[in-house]
Amino acid sequence: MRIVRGSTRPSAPSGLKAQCVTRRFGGRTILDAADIEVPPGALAVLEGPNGAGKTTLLRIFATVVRPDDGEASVDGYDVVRDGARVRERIGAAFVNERSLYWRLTGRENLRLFARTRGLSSRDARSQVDSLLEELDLVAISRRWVADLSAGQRQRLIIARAGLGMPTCMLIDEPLRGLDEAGIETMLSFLRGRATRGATVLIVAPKLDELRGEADALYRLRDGQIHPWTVPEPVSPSTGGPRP
Amino acid sequence: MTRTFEIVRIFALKDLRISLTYRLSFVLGLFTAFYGMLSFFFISRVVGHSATVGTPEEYFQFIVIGVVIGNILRAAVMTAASNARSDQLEGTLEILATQPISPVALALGWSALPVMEAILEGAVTMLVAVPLGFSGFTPDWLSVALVLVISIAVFLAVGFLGAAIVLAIQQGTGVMGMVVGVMALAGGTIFPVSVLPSSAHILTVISPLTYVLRAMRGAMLHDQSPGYLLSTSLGVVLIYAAVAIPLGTIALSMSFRFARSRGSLSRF
Repeated sequence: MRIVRGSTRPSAPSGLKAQCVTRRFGGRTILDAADIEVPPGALAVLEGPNGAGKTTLLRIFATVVRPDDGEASVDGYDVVRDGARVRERIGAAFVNERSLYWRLTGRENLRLFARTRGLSSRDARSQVDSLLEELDLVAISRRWVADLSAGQRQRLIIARAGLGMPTCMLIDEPLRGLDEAGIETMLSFLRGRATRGATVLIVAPKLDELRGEADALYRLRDGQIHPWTVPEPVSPSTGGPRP
Repeated sequence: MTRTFEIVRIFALKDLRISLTYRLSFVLGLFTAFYGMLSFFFISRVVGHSATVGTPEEYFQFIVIGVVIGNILRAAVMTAASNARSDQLEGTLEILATQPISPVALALGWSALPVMEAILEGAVTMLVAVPLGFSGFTPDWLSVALVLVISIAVFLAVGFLGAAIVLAIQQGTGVMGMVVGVMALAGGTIFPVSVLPSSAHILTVISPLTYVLRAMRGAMLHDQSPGYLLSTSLGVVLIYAAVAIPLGTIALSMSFRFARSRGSLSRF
């Protein structure tokens, strides 16, 4: 979708798009004319080594960092010119367990952010209940965040990103700190969101279990993003692809 | 506007929930207010009976209003900056910046509970002060309410400037403490401005607190009407409001834009 300067016209979800996005920090170029396009309803995974600029790209889509050059849009809304509209449409989760209020319970945290997203009290309660259930957090939802494990906090942070049914979810390392059951729950949650039409962009330093869930894979190297087809793992016995 | 009030309410409730987890500090706060009032009562006994401060009773009444307004000033001016800083340090600021909340609503949310607490504490302080001699006058309550609303708006706008500095450069809460200290000193919180040296006169003239205190003392102690106050000291406060509110609001929005450009919303 073409972006018209000063426009706030797009209506239908059109996914995430970055064109020639460059971002520098302290003289170092983190993103160098990076391009990416994630169609609506797709679950895309962007892989890259630590410090490659994955989270910076996520932050640009989330409007907390502005690109120095280039354009990025969420559902056709430019992240710089239409920041307020972009924020209405996104759900973001960064790797930062301190982004929760530790002296509130998990449920209170989610309700607070549900209300900041403009949900009515009733809708907030119902969405929080549903998210707690989807991410297997009901049992610990009345505990202070301070008393939760790292994996539980991680699930809570992702649950928060799902509040208000965002059309685009921006997720930083969703499997970090999760046990096997947690990983399964998380993958099912993220896949479910994409199935329901949300555009999901995940960034991670390794593909691991994300690989099987992704509709599209990208690699970030030297500040640039490349579509990536991962070769099938080679079977040690036959020398061919694993069945 | 409704959405802004809703955000303010949500954040005030959040802060209340968190502050209730520190019950002891709440009780100690009330004790400090009581202890402070008792101290000022005895000070008024010592320094009263002079042409500058009047009788001990008059001086005590003067101080009570100064202390109450001074506390509201501190809450309104400092908490937007200090809570912005807390959110920076605790890591919640970045995620708040991804929410569909306007900067002004967020800053009002940061200040809401502390200002309400300061008002409540002021009411308790006055009640505690009644048996100590804070009586014998008939306030004009409409004037009191008017002074309170306009002065809080001005103080909050000054607080927005502080929050804007913190958001832009990750420091500045100390500066706001200094601003409050100078305003309280030059504005006549606990002693009349006439005792200040002439070199400090300019600070007295430019500090909005000077006019707020004059208006509040007029409304509380001398039954001055809204019309009279608006044509005198409260009129000056209104001029401050007309300048400070747009300035604070613009500064806040600009500082968010600046922080997004610098990429510093996630830094501390």
